[in-house]
Amino acid sequence: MALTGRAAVVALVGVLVVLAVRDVAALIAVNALILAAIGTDLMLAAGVGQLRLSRGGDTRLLLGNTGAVTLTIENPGRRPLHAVIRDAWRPSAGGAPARTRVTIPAAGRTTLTTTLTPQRRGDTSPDRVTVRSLGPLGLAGRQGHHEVAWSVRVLPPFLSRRHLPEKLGILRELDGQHRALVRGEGSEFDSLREYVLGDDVRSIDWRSSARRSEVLVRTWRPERDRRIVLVLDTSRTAAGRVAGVPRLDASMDASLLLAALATKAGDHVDLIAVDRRVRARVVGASRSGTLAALSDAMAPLEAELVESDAGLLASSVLEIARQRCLVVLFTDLNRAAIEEGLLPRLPALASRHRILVAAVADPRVLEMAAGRGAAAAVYGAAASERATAERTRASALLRRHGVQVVDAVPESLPPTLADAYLALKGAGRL
Amino acid sequence: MTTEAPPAPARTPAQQGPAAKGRPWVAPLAIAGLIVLAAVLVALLTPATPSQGFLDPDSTQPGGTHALADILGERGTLVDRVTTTQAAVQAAGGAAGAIMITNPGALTTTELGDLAGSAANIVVVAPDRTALAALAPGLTVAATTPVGPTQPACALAAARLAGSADMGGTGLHLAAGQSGVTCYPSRGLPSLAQYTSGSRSITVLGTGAPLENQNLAHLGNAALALNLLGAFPRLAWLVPQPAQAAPAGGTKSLWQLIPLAAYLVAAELGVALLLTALWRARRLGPLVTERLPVVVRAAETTEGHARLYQARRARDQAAAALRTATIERLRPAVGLPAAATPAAVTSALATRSALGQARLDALLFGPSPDSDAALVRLANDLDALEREVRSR
Repeated sequence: MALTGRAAVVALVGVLVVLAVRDVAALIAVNALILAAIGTDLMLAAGVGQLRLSRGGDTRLLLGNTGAVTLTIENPGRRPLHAVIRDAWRPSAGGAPARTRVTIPAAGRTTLTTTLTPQRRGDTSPDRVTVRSLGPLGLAGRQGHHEVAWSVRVLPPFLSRRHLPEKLGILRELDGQHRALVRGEGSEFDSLREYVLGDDVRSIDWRSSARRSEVLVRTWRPERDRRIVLVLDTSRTAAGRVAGVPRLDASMDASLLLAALATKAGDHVDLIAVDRRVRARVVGASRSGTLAALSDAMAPLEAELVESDAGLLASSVLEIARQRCLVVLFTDLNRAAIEEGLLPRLPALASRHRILVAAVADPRVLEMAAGRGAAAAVYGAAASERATAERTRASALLRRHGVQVVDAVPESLPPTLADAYLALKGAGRL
Repeated sequence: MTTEAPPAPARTPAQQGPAAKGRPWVAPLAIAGLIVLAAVLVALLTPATPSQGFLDPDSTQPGGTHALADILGERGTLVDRVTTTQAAVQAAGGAAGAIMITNPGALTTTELGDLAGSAANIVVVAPDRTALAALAPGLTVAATTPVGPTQPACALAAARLAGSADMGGTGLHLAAGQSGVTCYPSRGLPSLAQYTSGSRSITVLGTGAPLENQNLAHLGNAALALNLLGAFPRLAWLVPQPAQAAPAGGTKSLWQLIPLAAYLVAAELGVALLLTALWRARRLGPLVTERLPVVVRAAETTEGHARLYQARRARDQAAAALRTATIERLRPAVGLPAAATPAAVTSALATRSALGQARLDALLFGPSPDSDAALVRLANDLDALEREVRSR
């Protein structure tokens, strides 16, 4: 049972009546009337339990976009339903409107739309749907709820998508550049085509030209079908927020750009996310479905406040990467973590694979380094220089083991990493 | 009285003196002191309500009138102490007797009307405007005058025989066209007036001072009091009891005095309140909870480190960090290996800087700064060196 504000207003009108009549009988009569009206409303309100509810709409949504989930309500009863309906979502799902008034005729149906503007990545499910069915007088109503299952996966926003056209342009340039070149390391035979003026005469394939009546040249292209393993470290260092966004999210952004680029370049991309256990794994996805599979796997990932298990990380990588491949490790250049965790396992990995470490630098620390004037600012600059020196030392330690290090602030990490990949690709060192 | 002190008014910046700036507790304390002072002043200036026994014929306190009542009794006047107006009218016993009203302010309008309507003579002490208008319509209150020895200055035998007395108090004014006697003028305003209204005499005294036990032996006070009051064979001395002053027509309690309509309205308002509470109490489904992610700013450790440096005045550590950073940045520019000695660094930089080798050595490898100001200076000097080396 639930009352409405109208019931209270009626009681206030009753005050005026009582004031006018000034009799105990009037008081009793007024209240009896109110009680009877409320009772009637409760009797005549459409039942809530008999309603049939179903959902539809978006199941996947990029973070930052707005989606819609519909709720269809069917009223099989003989009375029309006048109701207030609350479709409850968790606060960060940004569901609107919070409550809706509906009128559904007997044996009719209606569809409500809840727009979602999620503020967090991950799976979000609606809570219960609460229905307050009001009587014809609108004084009181019956209230009940239905559980209508649905799930919306909020995917990482992939903000670095805007860099993709430019990087693809470089990739095409790379292709074109190599196509007419003589064979070199990291390139493979592509096709034969007719000789055009300006082609290097050294690339003429004489044997094919002899079989045909025209002069053919061999073209080469950069090697394809290489494997790239993206490794996301979801341990405590990934939880730190850089410019308001966790390091993990910045790493995801960079890895999505790299994956988009690599699949376009014809390489295969795998992903694992590891802290003390393997938290996500995408292996052997089709080239066209890689990006979707990756962002799907990344969506529910959150950084855990635990130290990462470097042994598990190394063994998982080795398990996936049987042939030689590029391992891109997204982690923080934390000297203690690297010296104690990664470094002992590095020789085993580096001997079989090319390793690239991508780290998210903190612009706030860089900003602090420029602090001058006040004593507090200079102490800040000193602390910042110290932190930067530690980072530099950690990356020097990694480079000594043949690991390439990309250390950049969140905005420039995706393009820098893509450039590093393109440089490797162009040099045929994948 | 001080517990319900009004909140101190908001202070504008202009009100804040230079003294208050340094000691913020001064202003609130001063305001509190002012409030207490004001309360004390108000308490002192408020006229004290007549204490129990004031002008009471049963009271032997200094402010009582037991002595006067006793003497009057000895001289043949029947003094009857009464507490209600009905009893007073009854005790006065008709036209010969008199009603003595010493505290007219404590009587309600109805009671004053009862007294005015009786046939008995009336003696009123220190009446206010309301009491005067009801009991002695021929007189008005002019002003308040000080109480002290006053000359009779009139033809009234009772006053003339008594001579000077402690009179004053309420200054009276005989209404135009009203014949009567006025005596004891204080500052020109008489403090004793007597006139006849119909068959009864009405006497008004500006103050009860000459009647009090403590003043009775002073000047002609006793004579005046006895002359005025001893003339009546019966005297009903009305001492209204504050507790019994209100109920006049039976024993109705406060609740019975509230009209029925108020109860009915209150009941219906209660119903409205209950319905409102029920309306607001039922929410449309429970709150939805959510597991929130941890929020850790990555720069927090570095910022904490900086604050630690400052708190411990770790100028040596801070200077070393800044110097090392500068050297590391400049090393590639002058082509030095990572393991270069301080001497090699200074000599290499000396070729690119206007600073001498000795000053460079002091800047890069000298003692750590001895004050925060020196540290700030060091940071600026290192910046200048870096710019210089890079620009050459």
